[in-house]
Amino acid sequence: MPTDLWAPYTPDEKQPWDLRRVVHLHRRAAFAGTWDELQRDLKDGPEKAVARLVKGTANLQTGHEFYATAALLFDAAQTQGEIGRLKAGWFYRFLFGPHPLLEKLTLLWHDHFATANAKVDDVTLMRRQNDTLRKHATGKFADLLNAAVREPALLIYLDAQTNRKGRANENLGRELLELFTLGVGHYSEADVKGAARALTGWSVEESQFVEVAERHDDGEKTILGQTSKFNGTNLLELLLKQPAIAERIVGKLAQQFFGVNGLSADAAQQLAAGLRERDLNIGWAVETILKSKLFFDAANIRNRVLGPVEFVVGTARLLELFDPAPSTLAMADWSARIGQDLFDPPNVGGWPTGKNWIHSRSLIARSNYAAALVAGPNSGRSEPYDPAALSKKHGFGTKPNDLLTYHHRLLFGSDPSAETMTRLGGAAPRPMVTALLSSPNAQLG
Amino acid sequence: MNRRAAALILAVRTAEGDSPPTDRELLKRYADAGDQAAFAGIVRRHSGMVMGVCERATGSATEAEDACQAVFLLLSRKAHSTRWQESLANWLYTTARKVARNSKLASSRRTKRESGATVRPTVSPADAMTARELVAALDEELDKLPPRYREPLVLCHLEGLTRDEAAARLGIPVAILKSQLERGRRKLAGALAARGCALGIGLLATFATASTRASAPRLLESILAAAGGSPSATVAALVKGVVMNGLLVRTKLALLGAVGVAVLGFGFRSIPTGAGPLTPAAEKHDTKPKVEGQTITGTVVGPTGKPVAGAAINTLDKGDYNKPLVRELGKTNADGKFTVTLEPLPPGRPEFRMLVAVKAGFGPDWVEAEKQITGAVELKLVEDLPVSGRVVDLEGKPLAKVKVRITSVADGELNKVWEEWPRSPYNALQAVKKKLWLPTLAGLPEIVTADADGKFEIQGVGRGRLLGLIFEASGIESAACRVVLDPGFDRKKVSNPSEVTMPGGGFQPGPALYGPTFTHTAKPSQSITGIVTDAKTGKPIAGVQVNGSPDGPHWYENGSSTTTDAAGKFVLDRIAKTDRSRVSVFPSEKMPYLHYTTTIADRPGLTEITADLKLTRGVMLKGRVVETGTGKPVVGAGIHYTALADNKYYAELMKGKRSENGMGYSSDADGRFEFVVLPGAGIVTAQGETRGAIVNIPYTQVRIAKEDLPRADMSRLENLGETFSAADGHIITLHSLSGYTIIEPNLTDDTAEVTIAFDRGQAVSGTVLNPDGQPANGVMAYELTACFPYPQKLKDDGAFTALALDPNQPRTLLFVDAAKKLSATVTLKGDEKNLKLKLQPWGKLTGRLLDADGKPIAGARVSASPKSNLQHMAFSTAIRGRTATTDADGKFALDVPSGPAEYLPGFTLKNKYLDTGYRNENPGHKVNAGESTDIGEQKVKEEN
Repeated sequence: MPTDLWAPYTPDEKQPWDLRRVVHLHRRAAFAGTWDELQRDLKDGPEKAVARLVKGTANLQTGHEFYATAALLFDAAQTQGEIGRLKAGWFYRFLFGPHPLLEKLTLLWHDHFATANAKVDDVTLMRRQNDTLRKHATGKFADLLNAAVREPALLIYLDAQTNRKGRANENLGRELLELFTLGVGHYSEADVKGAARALTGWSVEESQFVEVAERHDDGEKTILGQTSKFNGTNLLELLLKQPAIAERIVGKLAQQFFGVNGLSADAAQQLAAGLRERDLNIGWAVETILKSKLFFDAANIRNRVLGPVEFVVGTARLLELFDPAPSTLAMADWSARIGQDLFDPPNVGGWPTGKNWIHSRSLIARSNYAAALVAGPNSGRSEPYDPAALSKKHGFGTKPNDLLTYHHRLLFGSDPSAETMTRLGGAAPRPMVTALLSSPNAQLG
Repeated sequence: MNRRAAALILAVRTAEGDSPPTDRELLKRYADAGDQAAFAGIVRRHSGMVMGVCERATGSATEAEDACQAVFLLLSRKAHSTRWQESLANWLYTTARKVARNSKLASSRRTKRESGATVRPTVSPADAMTARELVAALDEELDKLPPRYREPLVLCHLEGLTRDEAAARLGIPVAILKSQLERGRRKLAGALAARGCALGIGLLATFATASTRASAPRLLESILAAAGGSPSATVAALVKGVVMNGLLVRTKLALLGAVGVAVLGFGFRSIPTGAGPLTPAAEKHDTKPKVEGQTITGTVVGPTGKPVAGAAINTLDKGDYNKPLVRELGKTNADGKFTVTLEPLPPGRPEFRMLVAVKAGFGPDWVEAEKQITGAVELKLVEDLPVSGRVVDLEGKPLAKVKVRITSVADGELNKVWEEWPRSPYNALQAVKKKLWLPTLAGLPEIVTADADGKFEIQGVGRGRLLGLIFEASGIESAACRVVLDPGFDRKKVSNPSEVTMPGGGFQPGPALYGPTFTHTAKPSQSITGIVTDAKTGKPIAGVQVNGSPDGPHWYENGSSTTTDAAGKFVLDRIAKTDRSRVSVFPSEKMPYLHYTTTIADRPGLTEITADLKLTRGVMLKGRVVETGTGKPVVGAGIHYTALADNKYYAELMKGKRSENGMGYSSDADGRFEFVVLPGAGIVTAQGETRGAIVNIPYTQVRIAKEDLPRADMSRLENLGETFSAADGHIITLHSLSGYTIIEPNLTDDTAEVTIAFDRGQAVSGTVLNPDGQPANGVMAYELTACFPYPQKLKDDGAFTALALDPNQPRTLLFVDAAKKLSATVTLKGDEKNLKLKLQPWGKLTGRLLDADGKPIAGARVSASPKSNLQHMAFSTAIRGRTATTDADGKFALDVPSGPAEYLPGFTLKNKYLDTGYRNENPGHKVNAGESTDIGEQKVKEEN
């Protein structure tokens, strides 16, 4: 019996349940925690903290009539055909939603089944896809995959309409094998050709998925060693039976919950095996990860670059900028400038993540965003952020060192080093907060 | 530019759905027929790539945009002359490289600009440090590749096409494309490696999507303006240009909007029949032009037909239209009857008045005073339905104190509006003829204010009506909506317009649509502030109107307007955040400055945008319009000015700017007009009065003067008539104009003077007879006048008089009895006497429609249009909107008037155009009286 690499985390002296781990949990599995949320979870312990995130009850600050408002904003985007409104509507969900983990996973699947409105040019379809990804985000991968590849937006993005009998367009077939399911190395070029043929006839008519019998290539295809008159549905069934698919899912989840190469091959394989046993249940894998020793291991803390959306939303949340909130339209714009333009990933491979998020231009944009958030107007807030007021509210003093200590704990779960104290302790409150938020460490989480 | 001609041509062409498959075909259509839609299609396809090339070469979005526009301007000029051996993409790539390289502006301006604020490509990490060098290397190496290898690379990597798309675009098999692509990639990778660029062609991919995405939408419009169309007639242009505001501006808005829109290539699909200024309904021709001092009697009844006592009868005071006042003329008596008197209007003032019946608890009813009011008028009040609204921001927070401006109430068949909506919200709303442009006439407030919870209520509009609102407050977008007073209204059932349903660059979204209970989600505004100064002296200028709107497709009512203060400062704080904004400057009439429009890139988040605007002095043009022979002044003539292509000052004075070509001025009671123009060559065009009550312009179509032939462009006679080229690249046609003159003031001139003469030409009378030889009753007559002719309904004696005939320009008239499917046609020179025309049965255009797989297409709409639009305008107008539907076997039979018109078919299925390629490849078909002309099987081309 091999060791259970996914054993649950139980606090001990070496790996205590401290503020650092609570901050880690919220920055990675949610959009950062407010001081009250952090303190609550610190008090209640890891089990309850994780359970709240999984259930979608972690956020203390949710929007007024959240679900109705979220739907209103998406509806307005859809009926007015404005992608900018859809982006803003999603940021509303990030900022005010009760279930940040679900939104993070929806964002992860948006990256996985990457589809760009620049080509699709249909807000209704982009919204529909977003709803679908959210619906299946924590369910069985078979359901997610089956729904996602039949989404009209994705089909249009990958030119499914032009994939016809006798003139196969391999886009969808190739990405299905390479990106959505198996990954490079688990299929051949011949498999791509076979998959493309199986998918002939899949198309979009009047914004709905259709299978056009006349365009379908009904002949025999050999895919992954099996020969049959595959159609699209059979192809998906075949793919879902491949062992490699579980590894691909684990890889995707690792992108969200671990740093680059932060997960050992053994651990990944064990999790993949568990997924296979459980019908590729995504929710099970996510919960297993969040409860694990591996997740809370010191080596896994602050070893991952926050994506632009995570940074933009998390920064606003931890400063408790809820009323007035920054403009969600402005947040979407900043996220795009930092490198993540929602509903418009650069290509079907999704966004380049990890260290790729960081370069001189994006760092400057992150810093400008932090400054705008603290100053107010440029982020759409009528008033500046008041560091002293928040610090006081949570029982800290209002002297420069107290303010630095409060914000440092809020961001990193630890006290500032002597060096940081010297460097920032004397700064005026707002520039200090901006500097802290712009620091390299604040880009991790 | 003549608006109607362009509008009609574009409307007809695009309505029939030639969505062109290859660049070359598009270009040919543009070159041969001046097809702006085709040109727009080219721009849409390639602007991303061209912009990307220019951006990388100049390092600045603004400079790149200039260069990009220049490239397409070159293309528009070269379209005719070049024999297109190579692919268009390749030509554009090479030209863009040349233009960008030669851009001397680049280096001097570059340092000032904030890079990163304007360009937003998704940046891969590798480019962060050395992007410029790498990319420069990439472009240089691409330059060196032979075209056959470069083309596929440009299409697949810079324009982001799939291989199949690229192959289709180049017209070569996919297999060949793939091999060319591979070899191109290898060559390029090798060349780059030799220069020490390890990244190689990965760079191509990095830049492809980014540039395409970032530039295409917002660029399209400016490119079209530069190369093919003319800029928008914004609200400002109207306010400034027509010396009216309030009620008249709104009415005028409808007309200039329609026209400006058409010129721009927005919403030009199906301009309503006779779309000219004010688009009056056809039956109005029976009416007297004015109702003067008329006593009117009538009854006001309620929704059930019961008389309503005590209802007020309101109208607009005959006084100053600039400050419209509501006047109550009287009230109904116990029997619901009223007798009121409309005072005569001062001479020369167009009739805009209405009689409006108002009573609390009901929705109003109204009738236009310009309609003949004879006998008793019945006004029927409708059941009231309260409108209950709320305004929140995008964070779901209620917005208190937002001003909700009530702009219009309309009444009509709303189902038709929703049907037309995806093809053009603008036209859909225009087609609702019964409109109350001044809602205060119905006792409605001008503005209601949202309470602390963002809520407001409006009563007295009436069930079934369409209510126009604009939400106004500092910090949010000034945005319009239409409230549908129908509790069962489901917004999601109304299809949105898109680039598919409004192809060819004509896409324009509609206003928000709401049911009677709704929440408006207001978008935040991104303020634009700055100072307006004299370009020469640097002195600030007060009292200048500054307007802002998104530069991309947007609903025309959404925008912001302000005036500079004593220090020349302005703040536009109600304009939505958008990639790029358009800012227009309108000095007041007395100021000797040129108006212009420029565009400004946004800044991150909601960071305030600053834009200092400089005004250039121009030449004050004083002119007069008179009638030939009598010398009588022409009142209310529409005057337009455009700088010509050979204007030697344009490039310098209008650098980075463009003028509002949609601006119109009116001649006064003495036929005089005055406005500021550029020094150098320009054209002043004039058309007969088309505002207000129905006017059949009695003047002839102007012809080009011999001495102007050398600078004219006579290559588009069939579709645009005699034309000139404007300095900004668009085409000015003389079609439907009655006079023009070319001016060439000197740089040092303060003023210039012109006189324009209109000619009345000849008149011919005749009678239209039924097939049995008896006078025809109620026939519609097309092209009875030369300029902006409205279809006119003849009386029961079948008599007609055709005006403004010119022996040198014979005009084809058409008489139609649509109900009986009869028609007669004649071509007149002006010397004909006592004409008798006999109606004949229509013919049919038949055929069969198949999809790409050879299956019959059922339920498709089939329409037709004459091949020669100008010559057969009467036919084009008469059959617009007439369609047949294909049966289960794909067969169709469309009834059309017989005659000289050569018809071309067009097909749509559920608002999507079906391209059979037929229109590009075939001559039109004449249809004989009572006979069928079969055009055979039409196969829809496969989607690329």
